[in-house]
Amino acid sequence: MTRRALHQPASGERGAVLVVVVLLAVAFLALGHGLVLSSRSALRTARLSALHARLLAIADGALLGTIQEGGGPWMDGVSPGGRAGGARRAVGPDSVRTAWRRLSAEAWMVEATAWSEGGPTVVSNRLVWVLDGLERVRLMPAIVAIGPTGSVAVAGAIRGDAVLDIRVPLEGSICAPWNTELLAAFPTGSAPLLSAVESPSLGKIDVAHLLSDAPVQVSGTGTPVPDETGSVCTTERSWNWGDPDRGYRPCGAYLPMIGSESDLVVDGGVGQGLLVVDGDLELRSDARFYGMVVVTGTLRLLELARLEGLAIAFGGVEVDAGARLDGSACWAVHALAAQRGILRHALPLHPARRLGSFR
Amino acid sequence: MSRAGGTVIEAIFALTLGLFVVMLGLQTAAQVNHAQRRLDSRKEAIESLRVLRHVMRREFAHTRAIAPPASDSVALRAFRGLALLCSQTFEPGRLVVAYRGDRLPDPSKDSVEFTDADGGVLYSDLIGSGVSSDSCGAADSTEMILAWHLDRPPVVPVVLARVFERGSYHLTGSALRYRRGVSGRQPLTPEVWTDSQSSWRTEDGRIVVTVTPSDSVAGAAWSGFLSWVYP
Repeated sequence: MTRRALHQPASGERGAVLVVVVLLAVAFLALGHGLVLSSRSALRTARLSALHARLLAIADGALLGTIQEGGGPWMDGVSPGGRAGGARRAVGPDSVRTAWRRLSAEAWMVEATAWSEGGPTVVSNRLVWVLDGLERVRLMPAIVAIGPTGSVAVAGAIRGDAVLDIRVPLEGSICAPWNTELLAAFPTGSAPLLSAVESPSLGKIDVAHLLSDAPVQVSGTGTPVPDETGSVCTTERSWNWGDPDRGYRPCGAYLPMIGSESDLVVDGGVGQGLLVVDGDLELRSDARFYGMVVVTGTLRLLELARLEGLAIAFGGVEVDAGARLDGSACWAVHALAAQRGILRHALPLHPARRLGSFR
Repeated sequence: MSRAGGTVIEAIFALTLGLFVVMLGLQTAAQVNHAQRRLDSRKEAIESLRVLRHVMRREFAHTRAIAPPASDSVALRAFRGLALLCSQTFEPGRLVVAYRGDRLPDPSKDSVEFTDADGGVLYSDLIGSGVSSDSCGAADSTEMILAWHLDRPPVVPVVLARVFERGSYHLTGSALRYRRGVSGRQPLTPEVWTDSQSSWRTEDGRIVVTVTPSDSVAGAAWSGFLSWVYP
């Protein structure tokens, strides 16, 4: 045996160590790979969960923002069953879109859809109520709605036999958008004179909120007079309540929402719009008002005062001899429709609940 | 010096070194495995908490508890889907709706809550539900048109229907479980909590939940708001 032969392994042992090392390396590699795969899978699940939570937060945020912003005049262009969609908005790497679905005259479903490119889509929605002038008039039980304990004293006239009539200064074209619905709501052209209501509110909007929304605030005694400068209606003047007698003038199309947090006396003059009074309202001398009136106290029409439209007088109504209250559905709708941009609050119909649906 | 003796020493040394390397490798693998199992259990605990909050807050967003929550269970009408009405005019007892939800309505266990335009609610049992070929202007591509048969169809115009089933959620067997009727409690999460230290309770007009991870699971107890208690 040579020395060289002593250092050489037997032919059966040749490469055994290498094989063992390779096998061990493969085993460790497989184990490591398995661990990496498992970790990657867990990471992917966690990422999807985080993405879902992020999209839900984006959808909810967009939903709440849309509800807070409320509706607007565009709502009149959406029929029940129809929808109005907002534009796609990018939120970081994600996108969100909101839409309003009109379910009935005043019930809307606000939906926010958030999605990520190649990822899941999350929808959040909520049922809300938004005032509709036409619906409010359709649901008015009478020309004057009073509270359960309201008193009634009528020496003058309350007329409810011609609520659809177009009388000067009302122009027929103003009523055209609502003619069909009003005719369906008042097929005989008449409405009861008096009826009871449970609260002095416009649907779900109570007087406190109506007052806080009213852009024009008045108090005490005053005389509304149309006021224009050049060809512009001076809407800054709180006793400028529009110009119903001259529809062609700058103030002819101005139907303000007027609020008074205490008793109010209108001593002569003329005006139009929505008048909300937390207290008694007195129209005297030859004061004329066209539109809708909401009063928590007593509505008094004295001397030759005249009110044309509809009224909620929770404390009761007094109509002096010579004074008149003419029921007019068109004036009431006209006055309420003009406030679409102000009374646009979206009020949840399921309080403090979110109608979530995820897909 | 004998070369043969040197070879034995070399072999023993190589063997020892090899064993040491293998042991080191196995120990490392065991440590990694242990760390990963701890991470997994922690992940499961966090995932379970997320599922608990998501599921329960979603349920409470739609309904209130039928009874005040007991320490380990809360019974409620579980939300399963919503539907928009396709038309206010319908045949007696038959309603066509555009539906979307977690699953299709099941007449054997579902009831329907209708909401009218003023927010008032009416209830009816679902007698039958099937796919309808009626047209529905209110539907979008994600909604399914269904025809429903009801025992008490709404007598006033309604705008929305929500489908519920009666069920109860439990914090038992170390997990959140759902039980419908008299069936078993199905786990919705992995078993990661200690029953004796996990509960629902009413506190200052709120429903609050506390869950405590079991000993084998890393992490601290968590307590948080789920819902307001409605009168």
